[in-house]
Amino acid sequence: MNRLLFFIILFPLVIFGSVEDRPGFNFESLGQIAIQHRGRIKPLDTFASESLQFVTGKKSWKGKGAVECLVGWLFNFDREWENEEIIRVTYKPLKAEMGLGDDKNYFSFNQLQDNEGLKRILKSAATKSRNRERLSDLEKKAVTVENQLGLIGEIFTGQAFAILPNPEGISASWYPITNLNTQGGLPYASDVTERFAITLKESVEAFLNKNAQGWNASVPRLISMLSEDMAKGSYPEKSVLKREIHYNRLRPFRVSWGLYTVGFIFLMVFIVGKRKMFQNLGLGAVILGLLVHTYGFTLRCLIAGRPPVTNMYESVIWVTWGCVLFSLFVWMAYKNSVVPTAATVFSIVGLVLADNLPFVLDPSINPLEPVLRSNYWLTIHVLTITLSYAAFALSLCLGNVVMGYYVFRPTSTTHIQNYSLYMYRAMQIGVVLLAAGTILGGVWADYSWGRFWGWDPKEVWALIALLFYLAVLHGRFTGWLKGFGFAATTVISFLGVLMAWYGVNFVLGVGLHSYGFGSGGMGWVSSYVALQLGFIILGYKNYKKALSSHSLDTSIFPKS
Amino acid sequence: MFKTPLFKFFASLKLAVISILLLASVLTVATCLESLYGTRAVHVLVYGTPWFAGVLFLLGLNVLCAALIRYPWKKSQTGFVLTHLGIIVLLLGSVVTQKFGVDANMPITEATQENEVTLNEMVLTVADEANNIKKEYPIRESYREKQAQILTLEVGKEEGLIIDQFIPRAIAERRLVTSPLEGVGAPSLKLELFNSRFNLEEAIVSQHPSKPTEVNLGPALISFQVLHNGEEQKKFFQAQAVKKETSTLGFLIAMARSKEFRVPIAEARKGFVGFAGSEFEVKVDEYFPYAVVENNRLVSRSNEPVNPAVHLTVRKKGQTDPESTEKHTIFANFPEFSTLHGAHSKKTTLGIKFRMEVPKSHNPSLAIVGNQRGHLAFAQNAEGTQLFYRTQGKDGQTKAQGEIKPGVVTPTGWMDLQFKIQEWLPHSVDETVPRSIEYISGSGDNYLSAIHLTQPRRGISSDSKSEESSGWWLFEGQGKLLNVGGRELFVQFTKKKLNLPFYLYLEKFKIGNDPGTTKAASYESDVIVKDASQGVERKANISMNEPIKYGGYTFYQASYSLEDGRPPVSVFSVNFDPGRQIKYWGSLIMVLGILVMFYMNPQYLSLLFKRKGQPK
Repeated sequence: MNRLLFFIILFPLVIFGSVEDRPGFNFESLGQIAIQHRGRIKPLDTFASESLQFVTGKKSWKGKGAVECLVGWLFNFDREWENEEIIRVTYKPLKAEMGLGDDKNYFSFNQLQDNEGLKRILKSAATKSRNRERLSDLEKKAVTVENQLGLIGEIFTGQAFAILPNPEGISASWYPITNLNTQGGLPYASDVTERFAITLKESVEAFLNKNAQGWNASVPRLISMLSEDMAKGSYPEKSVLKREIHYNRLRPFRVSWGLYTVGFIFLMVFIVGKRKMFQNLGLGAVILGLLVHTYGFTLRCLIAGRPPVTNMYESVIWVTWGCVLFSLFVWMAYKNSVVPTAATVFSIVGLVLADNLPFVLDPSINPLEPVLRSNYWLTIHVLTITLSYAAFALSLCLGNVVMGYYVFRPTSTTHIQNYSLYMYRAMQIGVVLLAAGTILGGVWADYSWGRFWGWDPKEVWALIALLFYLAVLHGRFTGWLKGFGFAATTVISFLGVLMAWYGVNFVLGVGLHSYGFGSGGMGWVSSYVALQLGFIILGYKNYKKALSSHSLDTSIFPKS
Repeated sequence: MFKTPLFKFFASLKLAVISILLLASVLTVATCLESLYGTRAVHVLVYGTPWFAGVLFLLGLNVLCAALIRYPWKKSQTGFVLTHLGIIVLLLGSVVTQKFGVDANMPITEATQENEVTLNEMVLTVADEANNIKKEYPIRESYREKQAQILTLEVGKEEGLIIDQFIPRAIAERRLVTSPLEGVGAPSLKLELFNSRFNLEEAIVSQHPSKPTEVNLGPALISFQVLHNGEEQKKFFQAQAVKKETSTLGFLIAMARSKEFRVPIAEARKGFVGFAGSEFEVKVDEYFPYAVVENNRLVSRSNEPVNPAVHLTVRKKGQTDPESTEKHTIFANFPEFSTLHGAHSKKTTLGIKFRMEVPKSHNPSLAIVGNQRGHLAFAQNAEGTQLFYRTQGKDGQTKAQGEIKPGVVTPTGWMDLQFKIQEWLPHSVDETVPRSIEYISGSGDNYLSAIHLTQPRRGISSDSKSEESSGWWLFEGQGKLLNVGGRELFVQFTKKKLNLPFYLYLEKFKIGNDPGTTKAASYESDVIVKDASQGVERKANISMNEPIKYGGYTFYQASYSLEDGRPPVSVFSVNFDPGRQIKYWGSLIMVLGILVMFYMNPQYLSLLFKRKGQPK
């Protein structure tokens, strides 16, 4: 191979717009190439959608799939993509600092990369992080833009494309395609390297010349060379890669929130119209949704090779799952279909947020921090704690059903008492799990760090949430809490769970548990809290009004 | 006794609700404080205080009395009693841990042994080695910066030491101050260079007594020197710009036999240049300031160093045969493209790698001036009474010169640039002072604390105030030799140490990264436990989540520290916890209790309170 080959590959003569459409091209098959990125071997398909999502916040760009965009970025010889406005920047103060128009949310690589305003903010952010000082929101957003630019820059240069396998083993460092140029640096026989480079060149030419046939013929050859001749056995199984692509395509959690929504509608129709058929349809849809939810969760476990409850996204998936599951338990005990109906509301909201807020709830699968690895106690501790959140979420939903009655039908004492009982049952499940989970956390901390309890904010907030519920449980017997107070304090106690689950990670942002959690979503959570408190106040007003005109039984539970 | 009003009060449910809510509120406030001031501060403020122990005690007392008042217990109360018993046992276990446990850190350098562990309390140790005296004084930490008489030490009759300032979270900052000794110290300048588009600041210290010190600042070369006599002054104002093309093109860095060699690119363009101390020589065949590919060839689009690249030939000195000659293409901005051509046609390579180091010019508008800068020269006279300047454009023409005073904005005469001397210290010294961090960042709080020591001068009249020493700053872990009342004292601000009855020897520290990244995935230490008194010498491996136990102590892999040129240091967390078993039993009993209470007899609570009535 001569020195020119490199230039032919990376700086070809014939230049066509890489932004243009390419009908007849099969990009799906290229998605099956394995790539090493952020410490994990994954299909190119995953890398492409993660990258596109991170840069643009979208799942496709102008009708192009993620893989096609990725290939376009890599073969960006005409530099057209550098002027294409694809990088999402929405934070207004940052745009103002950078002198960018307020009306636009997308900017091109070239517009951002030499932006003096951005550099100035990044400089102060770098000084601050060196001194371990807190970054302002502006600086955090600027760092995100820097990471977006960094990623897309690495894709433009090809550095991010670590697709050349290391025959030493699957977890050894793979090589980026830019290394094709360093002849000595690659561990393959020179004829193998040369053949690969030539095939790569053919596919580049096919791509640039919009030769769909050539492209579709060369890509499978690239794949077989990578996975056989070059990897010498150190390549992920085809079935493993396909499984992950299947997971990407299926989007199981989107399917399950869809099914929950269908179930919710049918169940509402049943609750209003009392036609048995709709109850069966509704429950069927909810159960089916739960099955798909379980399937997706299992797939994710298999892909990640660990129980996936180590970041916010995964815990949302797990908690919404638990909430529906517990609602079915309570439904089995009391045969009241309002219980699963209320639970689906929580699960739909949670899953829709997880599905649509990648900047807050990052769905990508990343390796764990060392301290979280291969630990039996960790798994049990986290699963137990988060499962208790699920039970509390159910008690929250049912508490809001009770609140709903206080707002709209404050005199329906029987209903209020029944739902209070269901709410109490859910809370009981939660208290046991949270107490056990907190203590299991102590066991894990003792095992890993050498102390049972260290007043770490996350453990403290788990304790505070538990104390809230304990205060409610004990308050019931002091006579301070009547029917309304019991439901209201139960609902309010969930704010403690919300803080332990979500708030500690970045409202407080300190402590041993703070790794791996993204930030953002403050607005969503605050508006929820405001709405929730407003609803309770409204319920209190109507309850007081009803109390003054009717004689109501204010005991908490129905008399058995 | 169970029926006394006081006992009923402590056993009451209302007190339970109140103390639960009290604890919850205290904890809520504590976590908020922690996010502001950090973990150490919140231990000083809340968790480690007697009043917090009081809150826990109140809760424990309430739990105990509530269980006792219902004695003799019925079968239906099993869950209730178990739960409360569990909580009491758990709290007791914590007291035992608090009282008798040890929670410490132990950093060990590879291939050394250690028996000293570091506790969390801060102390000031004072050692008088001549008289063989060593004393330790505990220091009360505060959560914020504190200026007060924190600790007073008597040394002899007249002399002493005072800690008069404590900074819990400090960043060490170097700054230039006027030297305490008159006429001694390096001249220094703080300079601001700006035009409508940018603003740069730089401090420059004249390092050499007879040569100018030079600093590149954006589009300008700044120099600062001392002019010792009128002759030198005359020369300063007549100086012509020297074209500094060699340094502005940058350097070729060669790596061979794990050594680095530097050659200025400009020099290698003229012909083969040898690397001092190696058998190679190199020639730059072609230099491309703005490399692009046209017609399959590398060409330069312009003379602006936007994408510098070179074609070069490297060979063994004086040899011309193809086996000892190689051609490379190097891109300054893409070191990973380092290119050796025609390697497969040879059996061996020279084993030499190159990269380019070019002046940083990310901003294209600055890059345009990158290969020739304007020159802004400063000089002071030997006495340090006058400061002079001279500016030269890119063409070397003197634009302006004369004497200058700090704070005056002066145009340089090129690129619309202006400059201002912010501070001029004719004789300055470096000083490290702590800057107090009021609020911590989210990334944790591994700040060091710092104390300020002064020496009171008792019995000396106040008019000698000017002689009073301004004192010394000591950062955590730092020590200083001080002369107090004629005695040499070694004063050290450090964490309290404790010696274990045996040694731990660190054989090897290993670190594993996530594949393809430099992110640590796992770390572990091979150690040998050496206990001479027991005749024990045991090999063991400590890794994340896999501690070892010896002599009642447990050793956990906590963290590590890797610095260039030093052997790795592995940090262990060392723990002695006699309360562990108690806490585990308490937890178990409590969880069992809750299970029994909620699920074996769900109605029991309401039955219980109907029967007993509510204590009022």
